[in-house]
Amino acid sequence: MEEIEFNNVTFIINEKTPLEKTILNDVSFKMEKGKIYSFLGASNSGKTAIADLINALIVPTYGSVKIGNFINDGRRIKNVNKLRFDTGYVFKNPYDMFFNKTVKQEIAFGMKYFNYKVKKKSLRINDALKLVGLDESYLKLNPLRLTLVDAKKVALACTLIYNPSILILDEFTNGLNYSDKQDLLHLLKLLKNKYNKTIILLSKDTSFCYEIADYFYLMHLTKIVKEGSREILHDEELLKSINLEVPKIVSFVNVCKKKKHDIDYYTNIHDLIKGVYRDVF
Amino acid sequence: MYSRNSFGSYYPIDSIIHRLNPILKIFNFILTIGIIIFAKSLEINVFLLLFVLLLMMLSYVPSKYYLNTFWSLRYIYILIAFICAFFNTTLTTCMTYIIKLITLVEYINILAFTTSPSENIYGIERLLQPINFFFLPLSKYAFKINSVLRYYPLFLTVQYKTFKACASRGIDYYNTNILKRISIFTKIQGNIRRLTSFKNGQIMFASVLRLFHDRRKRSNYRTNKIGFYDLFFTLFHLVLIYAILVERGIL
Repeated sequence: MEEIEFNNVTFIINEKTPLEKTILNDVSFKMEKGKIYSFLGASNSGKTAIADLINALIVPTYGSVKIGNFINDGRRIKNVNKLRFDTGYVFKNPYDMFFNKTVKQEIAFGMKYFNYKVKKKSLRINDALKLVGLDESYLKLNPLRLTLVDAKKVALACTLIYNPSILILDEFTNGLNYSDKQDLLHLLKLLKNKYNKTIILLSKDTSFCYEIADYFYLMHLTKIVKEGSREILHDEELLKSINLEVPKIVSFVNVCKKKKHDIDYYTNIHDLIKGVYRDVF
Repeated sequence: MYSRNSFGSYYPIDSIIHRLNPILKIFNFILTIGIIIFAKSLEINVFLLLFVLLLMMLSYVPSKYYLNTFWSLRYIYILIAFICAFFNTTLTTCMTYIIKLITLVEYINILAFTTSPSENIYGIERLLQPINFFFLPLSKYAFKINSVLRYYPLFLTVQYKTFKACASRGIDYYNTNILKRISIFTKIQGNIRRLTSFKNGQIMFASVLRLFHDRRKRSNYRTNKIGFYDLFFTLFHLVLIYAILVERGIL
């Protein structure tokens, strides 16, 4: 899978009915392979629709979505399973992904229906679980009875098992604690650097995305209001105007700058502490 | 895949209709079913529909939720019109049938949107109380009735989510031919039923928690209160029943 391209995509539900609602309005962008992209926006900004369009779960009302050699423009997509196989998608609510009796069946489901053949299936399932930080004891559990954090990890394992080249995580950091987020950071870095995967994060968690993403799209009320590299998140006024939280590091550095301490915008807390020691003290 | 069905789900806001006594709400609903079945004249049915529209407005639930159900039944209205045309029925009778259907569906919607599962259970249980000659476990029956009432809307939601989850992992229900659709549905319908029952169980559990306090007695917070609107709406239903009795020459 090479790249993703949205060309003037508009997505309207229940068009020409009294229930018509625009979910995405004239959205265009281009993504390259092997980078981490982040869509940041408050609720109802249209983030999930972008994930659904990439995964071809919905078709655009106007415009087209190009994912590698596939084009999602309302016409029937030939071999749509190949596209979904390449674009692993973890839903916002992990419990919405679960419908099998055990975690093992749930993880193996994708492999089975994508016809992804591996020599040692159970070993592969165990590896996927280990990758997300869970052990084999989870395999026999009912996925619906897992805690939110574990459910998210299992949902991620369900997607990683068939090794997609694009990974879409919708609101994945919601409910995760600090150490879980750190584990996720390491995993995403590994997937990007070692396996050259394209990762798309759809989130409200500006602090997490600020630390890991290479390119940002700020969304507000169905539109992309601004895109660019990490610097666009330094604009506190803009973030507040679209109901997003300013990344904690950015707000700390901005306070320091107001107090005439010249500190760079570091991406993680460890570098920031080192910077503060070096530049301030 | 985005047109999610909102039929039968509770809409938690504060309104006059939300605050009505659940026992009388269910009692009024039973009266309404009687009115819909027995009222022949278009006038009474139109009057009832207007009353339902008033209830919809007073419920403060966004109109799109009601329209959603209204719109999804459009083919049934056409079918009724065709059947009426086939049997040479008058336009008034045809209109009466369509109005009856709209009234019933929207009244169910009002009841579902404005009554939480725990209130529903409480209302059903209290309503069944007068017929409890044999010391039956009425609370269990009330739970079961509520569970049955909520099952289908919940099933539709679970089905939508499961199909979406399946599509993203290799089985696409929506983009396939009818034979494959049947095959997919048979493969996963067991799971959908199991999942629906599980979620139904969770709702029931939450209802149990809300209905009992620490001394394991029924809490009757605001559900025992009968206000002006309760009496007004019940009286309105009774007036309509009286109108039907007059129409039928019984009184």
